[in-house]
Order: sequence, then C-alpha cells, then structure tokens
Amino acid sequence: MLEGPVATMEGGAAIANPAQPEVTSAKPSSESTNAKKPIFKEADLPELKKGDTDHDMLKQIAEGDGKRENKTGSAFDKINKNIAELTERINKGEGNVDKAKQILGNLLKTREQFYLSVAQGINPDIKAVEGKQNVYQIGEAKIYGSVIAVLDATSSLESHKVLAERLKLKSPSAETTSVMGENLPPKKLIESAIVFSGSSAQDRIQPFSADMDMAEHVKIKAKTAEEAGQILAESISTNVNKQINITDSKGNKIALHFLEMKAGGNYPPDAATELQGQKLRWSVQEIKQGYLEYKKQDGQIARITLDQACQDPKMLKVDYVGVTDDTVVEVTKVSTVIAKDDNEKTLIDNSSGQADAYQEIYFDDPSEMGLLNETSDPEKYLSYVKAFNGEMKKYSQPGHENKLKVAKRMYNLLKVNGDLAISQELSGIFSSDAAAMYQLVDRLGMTQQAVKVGLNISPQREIMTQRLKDLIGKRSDSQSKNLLEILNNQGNSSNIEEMRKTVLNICNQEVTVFMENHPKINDKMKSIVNS
Amino acid sequence: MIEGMVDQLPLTRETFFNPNRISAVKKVFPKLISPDSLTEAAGIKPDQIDKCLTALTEETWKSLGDDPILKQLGREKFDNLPEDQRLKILDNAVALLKASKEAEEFLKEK
Repeated sequence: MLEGPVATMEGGAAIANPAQPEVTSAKPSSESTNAKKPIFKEADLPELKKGDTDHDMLKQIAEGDGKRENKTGSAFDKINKNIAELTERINKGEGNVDKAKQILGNLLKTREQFYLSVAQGINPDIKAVEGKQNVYQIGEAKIYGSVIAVLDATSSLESHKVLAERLKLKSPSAETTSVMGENLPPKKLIESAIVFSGSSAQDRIQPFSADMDMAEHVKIKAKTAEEAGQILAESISTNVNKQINITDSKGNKIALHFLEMKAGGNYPPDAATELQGQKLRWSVQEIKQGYLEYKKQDGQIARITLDQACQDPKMLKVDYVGVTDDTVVEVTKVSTVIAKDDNEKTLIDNSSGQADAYQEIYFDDPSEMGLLNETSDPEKYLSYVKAFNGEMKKYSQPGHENKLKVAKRMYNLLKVNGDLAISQELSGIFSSDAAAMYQLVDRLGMTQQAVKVGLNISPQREIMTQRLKDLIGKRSDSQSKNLLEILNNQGNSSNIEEMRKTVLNICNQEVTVFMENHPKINDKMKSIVNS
Repeated sequence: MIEGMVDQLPLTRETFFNPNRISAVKKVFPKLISPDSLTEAAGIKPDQIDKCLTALTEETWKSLGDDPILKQLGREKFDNLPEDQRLKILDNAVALLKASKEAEEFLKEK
C-alpha cells in the first residue's frame, strides 16, 4: 500500500540524539518535487453526487498543488493561531468561555494524539500504558509521564527509583477496621508518589542540570485538619534522617545529608523583628522533637509544633546535599499535600494549581494515585503557559537577567506549543560548555553547604575544580579568563558569588551569540518577553 | 458481496479491514468507507482506497509538513514506518486538522 512515488524530505534527524540536535527543513528537495507526479485523478473519484463534501475534498486533492500556491499560512500556523486566539478569548472572558474551553481542550487533545503517533515514529521506545489514558512509559523502564514529558526523558532515570522510594512519605500508622468481627486490611492514611521534575526530568536534552529536583504528591485521609496535620508530621518525622545512604539500581552510591526543611510558611506575627517575613526552617532535631522555638518581640521564647505547621504547610520543601564519589549536588523534594475527609471535604491543600504533568517523570503509574497527566486540560495548559511566560519575562529583566533560564523556560513553552523542531534547535544551548561551567560553579557552591554540615568534600571539590579549569582552558574570552583567575587566586576559598556572577555573564553572552545566529528563535523569544 | 470482492483482492483481508486504515480514510471520506453502510463501501474499488490513502499522505504532508514534530520525523522516515504506524499518524493528522477547523469556525462566530 501507499505505493507510487515517494517524496523525500531533507533530514529527518532522530530526536533521540541529544548531543547533536538537528533541525530539518520542511522544504522538499527538488528531487522530491519532481517525484510528485499526480497520483489521484478526477476519474478515480467514486461516483458521489456533485457538491457532496467528500466529493469536493477528493477533488481538491486530485487537483494537486496548482491551486495551493496562493494559500497563505499553513495548517500548522492555523492550528497555533487558533490555540492562541482561543486562549486569548478565554483569558479575556469573551463570548462563550465554556465552549471555547471545550474546543481548546479538544484541539489540545487531538494535537497530543497526533504528536504521540509521530513521537512513536521518532522514538519507538515511547509507548502508551495499556488501559491508561495519557500515561506513557519509555520502553520497559518503569517510569511514566505525559507524552510531552517522556519525550525528554531517557530510561536511565529509572535508576533513581531507589532514591525516590526512600524519600517518599509513607503511612506512619494504619487505621484497622473490622466488619462482622473480621479484621479488614489496614487502610492507608497517607499515600505518596514521587516524581523527577524540571530539568532533572529532561536528561535527554539537559545533561548539566545543576540539582536533582523531585516533587511529591501526597494524599491524606483524615477526619479533621488537626488529624491530617498529625499524620503528615508523623510521616515526615519517620522519613527524615540526618544522613541517608542510597545505592541505585546501577550500583551508584549517593549519601544525602539533611540541610533543612521548610514547612508552615513564615514565622507568626509575634516573632522578633529579625524573623518577620522569614520562612520557618526545620532542622532534623526540631523535626524529631516535634517543635521549633523562636524569639518573640517581647523577648520571650515560644514554640510552634510540627503538627501545627503541617496543618497549613504552605511550601513543604526538604533540602539535602547529595555527595557522590566525584560531585556534590543539591537534592530537593517539594511536596504537594492534599488531605480530605471521608466526604471528600478538603482539609489541607498546598497545591499551586500549576500544571506539572508537562515536565514530570513518575516512578509509579500516576493513575494509581489518581494523578492524571492532563496535558490536554485547557486550564492547566493556560496556567502553564502563563507561568512560563512570566518566568521568561522575569529572567529577562535587569537584576534578574539569566538568559540560560530564559532559554530553558522557552524550550518548555515551545514544546508545549508544538514548536518541537525549534525547541530541539534551542536545546543545543543546554549541552554547551557554558552550561557545564554553570553546573560546576553551582555545585561548587553546594560544597560550602556541605562544609557547613561538617562534611569533608575536598576530593569532590578538587575533581569539580579541575573539570571547570579544563572547560575554561578551551575558551579565550575575557570572562572565562576572569573566572580562571578567581579560581587560581582563591583556591578552595573561592568567592562563589563572584564566580556565579562571572559564569552567568559567560552563559548570557553565549545565549546572546546563539540567538544572533538563530534569528527565528530570537524573534520568538523577543515576542514572548515583550508581549 | 464484500466478502467475495475482498477474497479476490491481492490485499489480505486483514489489510483491507485494518481498522486504522479504514479509520484514516473514513475521517476524510466518511461516505467512502462506512462500516454502517457496507453496500456503499462495496461500490468502491479497493485500489481507490489505496489511492485515497496515498492522496491522504500527500495531503497530510502538504498541510502539516511544516509541523515541527512531523519535520523532526521527516518524510523518508515516515515512508519507511510500518503501515500501521503511518496510518495512525494520518488518522491523527486528519483529526487534528478537523479539530482546528472546528476551532476556526467557532472563532468566526461573534
């Protein structure tokens, strides 16, 4: 079937090669144009009544290219335009918003289906999880995500499952029930799923992510908010340790050393002036004892219990410094907690409302936790686009300027909006030497955190410093020379902030040059930032 | 009637009745392939279905050839994919075009 002349397109680079992203041209080669002979003539049309839609459509195809030359704007452009217009109309609340959302949802869903079928042609390892809507995995690896997320993940991420399992909050106690004198299995009061998020979940295109970001989805069943807070606090207290040693499925070892946990928002209004506006930060000792003490404005000491903090956790984040044989890396886990009673009344909810499924790689089937990868949900699409637009603007402003971050946010936006070819072209910047230098400086910064918790990380620091020097040695720009001077002059006591600033300048410069050489991407970036 | 006709074809019955194949053509030409109206389908020559699919392939590449994700795949790679995968892409491409058309019409409404 589908015999006859075959037109060849240029390129066709496999997406699975992160090192050399290649962008193909849609323009058919002259050979392919010549090869496109009429393949379907009007005489071939089935005998249907004239004026019939099907007949007209067939006829249109039979007429070939001739009548298409005046066509302005491709179907792809139209699809994007329609998505943008629907988004605008919904945002402005114009017309029938519900209908607009329904149509946008359908459009996003069909686009995702189309992308999936093509993505599977590009990377045959992507497969749908049978019987589960919008859940995909990579080959036989037990890692999952939306099609948009799995496109950028490799099966290597599966090796982190041991780490994820260890950091996952578990049910500290179980409620046993009995029916007619027969004991039923204990009911879990807390369930959790851990995911790799952000650049950590995009190991195919981001080989130099600075840290390991994890997100956790926690569900709690309780009768009251107080009880839910107690369950969460007990689970955290059991889970957290000063040091956690992990060996992943590939035999790699990492030791996690606890830095701090944020939970419960800011200090209360009666806290001393210097604590006002500061987040509550918990040490292991404070977590284990179940409270922290703070100074009040009147000089008295007061307590906040972990149970109280967990009733309204706000941002719940645990930071570790991870130490391997050759590096030091920040490991973070941000938990979204939703607690409900038996009547589904919400007791605790610290979710941000932002769509996460675009960038999350799950270690468990998300549908089993009731987490759906609703990347075709218009609300989530809109909130994601809005958030990433905002971040691109933020990191473009003086004082916050970080062009590598702008590029990363833009990459995700392009991908979500369907500009995959441009996004792949842009992704080249993430595997540049400048990106590697940025990662190393960031990790050298982590060595200072490691020293603060009493670790001896001299061997790792030496290895990282040497790597950084090797990378700088390949460059001749003044900023790189400046960075080398800082390293040589100050040795292990190098001023990290100064190094950070310098490496950021190098990255900004690198991204600027990249953009100058890629006007299409540059125009797109400007249009988003200036919108 | 269909049974007899299909038996005489060089195509296997599985290929002819491949749901993806039928679905892809049906999306564009609903009356051409209609499982609800087999007699209508019987009036269509099997090679016309092949031609429809070939035409559909060309049409998809004309319409969505500049779609970045399709560009990444490339026509050559597409043509070398197994039939089922090609059909799935065509099927989904048509569904996408239709959804976009529906959006366009909605946006025209005041």
